[in-house]
Amino acid sequence: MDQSHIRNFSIVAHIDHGKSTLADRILELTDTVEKREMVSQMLDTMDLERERGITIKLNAVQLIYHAKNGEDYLFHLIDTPGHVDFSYEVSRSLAACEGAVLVVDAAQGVQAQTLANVYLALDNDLEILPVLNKVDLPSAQPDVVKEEIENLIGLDCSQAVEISAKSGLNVDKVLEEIVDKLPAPSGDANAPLQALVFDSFYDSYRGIIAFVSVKNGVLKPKDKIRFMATGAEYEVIEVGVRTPKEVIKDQLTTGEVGWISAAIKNIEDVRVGDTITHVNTPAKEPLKGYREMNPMVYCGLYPVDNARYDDLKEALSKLKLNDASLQFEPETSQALGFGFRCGFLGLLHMDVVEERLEREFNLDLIATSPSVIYHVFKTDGTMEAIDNPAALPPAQNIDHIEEPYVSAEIMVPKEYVGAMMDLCQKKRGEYVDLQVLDDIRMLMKYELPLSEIIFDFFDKMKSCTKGYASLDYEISGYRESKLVKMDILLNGQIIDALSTIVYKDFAYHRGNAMTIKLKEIIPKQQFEIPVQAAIGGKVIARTNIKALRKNVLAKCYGGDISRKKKLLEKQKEGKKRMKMVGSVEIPQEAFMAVLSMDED
Amino acid sequence: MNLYVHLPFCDHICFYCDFKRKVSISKKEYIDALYKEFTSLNIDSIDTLYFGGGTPSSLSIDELKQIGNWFIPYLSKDYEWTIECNPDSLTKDKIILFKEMGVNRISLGVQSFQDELLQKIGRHHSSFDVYRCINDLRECDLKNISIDLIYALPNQTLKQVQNDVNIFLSLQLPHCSIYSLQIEENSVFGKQHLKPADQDLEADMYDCICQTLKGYHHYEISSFCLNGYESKHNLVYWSDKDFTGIGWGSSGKEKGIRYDHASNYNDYLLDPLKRYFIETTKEDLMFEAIMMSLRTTFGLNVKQFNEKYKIDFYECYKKTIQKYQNYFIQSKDSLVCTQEGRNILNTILIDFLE
Repeated sequence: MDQSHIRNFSIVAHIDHGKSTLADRILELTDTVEKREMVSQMLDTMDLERERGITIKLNAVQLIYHAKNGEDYLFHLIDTPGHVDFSYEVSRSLAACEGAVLVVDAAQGVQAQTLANVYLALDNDLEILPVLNKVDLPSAQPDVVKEEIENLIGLDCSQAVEISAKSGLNVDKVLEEIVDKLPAPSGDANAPLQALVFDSFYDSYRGIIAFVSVKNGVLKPKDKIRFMATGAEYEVIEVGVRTPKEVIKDQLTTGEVGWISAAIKNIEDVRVGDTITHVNTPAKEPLKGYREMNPMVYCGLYPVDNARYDDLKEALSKLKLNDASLQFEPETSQALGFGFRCGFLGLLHMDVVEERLEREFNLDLIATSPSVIYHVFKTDGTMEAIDNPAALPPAQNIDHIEEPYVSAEIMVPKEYVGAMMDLCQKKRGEYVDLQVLDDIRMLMKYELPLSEIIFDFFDKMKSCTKGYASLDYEISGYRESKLVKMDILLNGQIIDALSTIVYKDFAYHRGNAMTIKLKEIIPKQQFEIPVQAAIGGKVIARTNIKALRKNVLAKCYGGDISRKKKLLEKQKEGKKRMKMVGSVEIPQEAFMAVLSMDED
Repeated sequence: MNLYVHLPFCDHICFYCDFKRKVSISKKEYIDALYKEFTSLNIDSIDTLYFGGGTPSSLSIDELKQIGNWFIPYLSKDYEWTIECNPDSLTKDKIILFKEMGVNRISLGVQSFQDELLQKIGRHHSSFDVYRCINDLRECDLKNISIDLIYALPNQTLKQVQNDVNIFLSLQLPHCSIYSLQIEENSVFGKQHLKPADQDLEADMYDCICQTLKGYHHYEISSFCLNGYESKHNLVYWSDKDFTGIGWGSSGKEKGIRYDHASNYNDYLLDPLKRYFIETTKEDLMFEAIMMSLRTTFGLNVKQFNEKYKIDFYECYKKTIQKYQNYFIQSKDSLVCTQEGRNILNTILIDFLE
């Protein structure tokens, strides 16, 4: 199809504003997917995504639209992840497009993620098409929200389409707008090849499959290609598109979005944001925007069964393929054996990776509580970056410790500003600014330690604002803090995987909360287990898990045998998922206890 | 033969119960189906006979007579015939009938002697009914009486439990089964998501019960008796022997193979002879034998076990027995749990589940 009849676009939105539902309606309206085949939210292919109602991975679908002007247009709809943790991936998938449909909930208005995504789209020079969704809700105020978009973002909303993605109202008008308002790709098919890699996944038969947007030139089977950032070279075996079924094509030309397979076995070779070019007639420069992603949150991942270390390694390698920002390297724990220290973009990212490892690779994992990277300045004048509390040098060798801070922007309805400020103070936040956004909401700016954000800030924020606040943050730099390592002892033995680095003034409080939580989580065993929190050998909190006295089925007659046996088998399964450390059996969730304890 | 007969009729549903039972259904249809199943049995003689439920005493005199008469010709010389009864439906007439038929053991569902607590768990009798029943039973020379008690009930105190056990003692009855409340998913309590009692309090209650009943033979985790009054029928379950079950939802074990009946009531009525055999491996059967026998002070009969399963028990479970050696009394012929061992039997059994 003629390049001027191609439209590449994404849909961007705040979580729950209806992005996936709109994508579904578009697929239906263009007959890409027949209604009866339609599983709700077609683009979210992973179970996990559908369950959580969030989009984690991007996906690209080709569809043909018969416009009202009588001509056919080739659309590539590129889905983007909808969470702050994945902003680099969002930015790369946006870079694969020329335009974006901005979906705003006509009842809720502009939210933190709406802004964040719009800025990413503007950074990538995209044309933005505002759309108001859920206009059929009784609480919808399309005119108010339009004004808000114009004030906050500066987009002209006079012609914004008012839709209901759920009922399908006016979705056809959105398609017409895409044809009329969004630009066609501008590249040159005769120029040297530049294809942007914006996603990849592993197929056990074909190796790594990369999703690309061809910006210039043409990509065909048998082409010799080079990944410009990694330098890896391959011969293309197949190219194609997804409709959303996989379709093999003769070529991908300028403006087209599709996949390539090239028997790529080395996971490291394919990185999101990289540019593919031809080996013989290479482009002078790669496309802009490639970045090595730096994780912000770290935790240890260990197989419950040590024998599955290699399986975990393989699984992590495979996940890294379509999750460029996941990092991992081997580490050892006295308590947990061999495992990996893994780096994530944020807490949700960590959660998702963990769940995918357990579900898709059938692994039983122990995750240690998350940590940030601390800069430890030692008395000998050197600095060590520490991402694992257990690795902190002895106190006498430490001159001072710096920890990462973030600039946080919190959008919050007026009535919760007081509660939110209290929370930020409690979390060692430093006030920067407070702006009035409109009649209802204010924008708070704070400098906060990242470690407090990953600790329980989200949960606390949700509960003190009834879920109305939204948070966006980025690393602002390192600052010196009074930090100490807090060890946890079970039955007198330090469990290295339970050590945390805490702000000194919080230590007593947190030590206490931690021991109480562990007492709740760790089941009674045949002997009493002291649970202690200690700093530098000095015990600051202590409780006891009393010995198990009674664990028996009261009633067991002839008819009970099957049931009682099943019950015991279930308990045995639970026990299998526990880790024997010394003489104490510790359930998986104990290692994450620090995240679920209640400090108040 | 050891025979269990399920009579699934109740006048009302108790909050803790999840057995197969029905309120107000036509008993005739069921009795007809049960008779069909009874006549299909190949009975030589009956050593132990157990009418359970449900509430067998909620049947009418005529119905009880009709059913009881089927079995009388087969009773062996030293038979034990138990009928489960509720204090609110066990009338003097029924007691007289039981005595005439030859019933020689009564299991009375007392649960507690505290009227307030009885109400909270959905029982419709009072402690007065219990005293009346015991009096009537003794008058009719039915002296082998067992009562059921439940502890760890919602908001029950240690003192209340002690009180219940003391009343049992003062009644000078030969047998008592005391269960801690188990909140079954399909019971009223389960549906109400009732929270179980504190583990430590429950352990204190159990200690108190065992202490108070020191003069009784604590022959199984929940069973106490005066010498010679062990329940012969229940010991069958706990000693890896065969038993036959008839009636809706009942289970049995013949030649080591276990079976259930239809779990749907109408399915049972349509085909009462249908048995659903449970696939078990030798390992399953071995585990079940251990699970059941370690509950009693008689323990596991090692010789019988080795012969039956053609295996060396001590060799086969060396690791687990070693691990819990302080909780066992070992001899060549038997393995018995100590009181401490029986208290944490679940923990021990999980290790036997290899």
